[in-house]
Amino acid sequence: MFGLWHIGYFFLKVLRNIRQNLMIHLITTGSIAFSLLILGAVLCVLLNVDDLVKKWRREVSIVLFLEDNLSTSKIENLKTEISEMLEVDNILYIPKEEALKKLKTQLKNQQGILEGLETNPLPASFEIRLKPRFQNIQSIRTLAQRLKGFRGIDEVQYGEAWIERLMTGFSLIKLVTLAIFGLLFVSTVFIISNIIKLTIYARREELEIMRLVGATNLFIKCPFYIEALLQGLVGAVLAVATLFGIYCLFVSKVQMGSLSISFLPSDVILGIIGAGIGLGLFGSLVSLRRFIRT
Amino acid sequence: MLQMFHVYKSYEPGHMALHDISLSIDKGDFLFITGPSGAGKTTLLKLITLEERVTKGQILIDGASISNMHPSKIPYLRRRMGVVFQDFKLLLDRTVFENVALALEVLGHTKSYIRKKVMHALTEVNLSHKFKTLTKSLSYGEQQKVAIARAMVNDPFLLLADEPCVYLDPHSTHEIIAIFKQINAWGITILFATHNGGLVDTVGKRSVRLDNGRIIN
Repeated sequence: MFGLWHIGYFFLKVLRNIRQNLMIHLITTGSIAFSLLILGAVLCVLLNVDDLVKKWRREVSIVLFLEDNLSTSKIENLKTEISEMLEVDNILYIPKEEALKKLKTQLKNQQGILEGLETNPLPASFEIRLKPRFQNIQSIRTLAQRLKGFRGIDEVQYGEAWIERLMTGFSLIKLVTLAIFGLLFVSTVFIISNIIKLTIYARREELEIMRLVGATNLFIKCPFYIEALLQGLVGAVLAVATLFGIYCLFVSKVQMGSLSISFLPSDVILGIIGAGIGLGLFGSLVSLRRFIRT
Repeated sequence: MLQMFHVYKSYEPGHMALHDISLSIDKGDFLFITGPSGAGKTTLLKLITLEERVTKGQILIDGASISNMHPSKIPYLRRRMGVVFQDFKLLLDRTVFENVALALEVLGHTKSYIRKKVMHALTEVNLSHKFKTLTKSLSYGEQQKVAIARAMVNDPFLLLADEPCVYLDPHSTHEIIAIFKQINAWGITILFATHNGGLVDTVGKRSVRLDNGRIIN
């Protein structure tokens, strides 16, 4: 097996190879960097869309409009009963007066519309938030149906039309993004392995001589693996750094309003770096098999 | 030391590159393999270095068959042999020293050991003064000397030469032959393939003639 001397020898050999074939190495590293940059950008979009979906799901609530003239104890009993339901995370009681106050606030400069009202037409209501695992259209629909049957509940609203469209839209975005991710990954592997094949082809004479003087396959391959690893690592780091630069520029130049766009989390960044190393190694594995034969 | 028993080699169906080759080479022998181009000389050498496999027959080295040697063991066999090619097979962008050292680096020897052995080998071929020279700036004769130095730096038991003088002028050829004779005098067995019958007469060693893949004499 290889000792410390071999490892030192391989690294020196790798450095010499890089120096002697600098352009090829730059092209390979650049290709890995570019591919991972696109992948990283797609991943960034995917993760942010996912976050957005989760955030908006949390905002989704079911509003239960109560019948008029319900007694306080009846309202309390209803509230207790509903809060004990499996799907319910929390329930908020909004009395008629508060509902009117909210409406006035929302109307702002058009409060004059309400001046002619002699009585408060707005009903009291419960606003229900669901637990995370029930924040999907099917669970919302099922719960709403059950709540319609409760005595004291006049009407149940959850904005079914826009929720369905929202959920469908998000699913579609996720699907398309995943498909793009998959295609990009496959094409990246293909491109990288072909570039590495060209690198190996350019050094086929050296490989042949090493074979003929008795180098084992592993001895011949090791420097290539190390080179590929370095190319993948450098390419991945470059990709992440460039993506971060673009992210900072984008976030500073574009008004996001209440939206916040996050950069990739650290575990995903490590994953991209791992993918870069993997891409380089896999490409060299596939390419070397053809050229190294005893 | 090296024995071939009824060896056949076919690259494609219906065409035999080598036909029923049987020969025996003792330790310390100097054997010429002669014949015209296409006679099968290079194929014979490739079968010994296991660049090619026999179609039929056996090749024994020190009594052990190498015909069915596992691929993982082949590098270890090649380390015990030296091969000199007609096209030298040197890395032209490396120095003389680096080219010769390659044969020792694959064995994992230390830098100091490699330096000592390489300089000794280069001294034997009268090229120690050019150890830092880039190989591409050497003459053909000098390049072939570097190839010989690389082939013998590992103290091989067998040295195979495939038309090593084909690109050399008469003076360089004479120098190369002298080096091979010196190597043989140290006890290293030499198998020398050439189409140049004059060389055989000059050196005066045993020869086997191939024609159309068969031994003629």
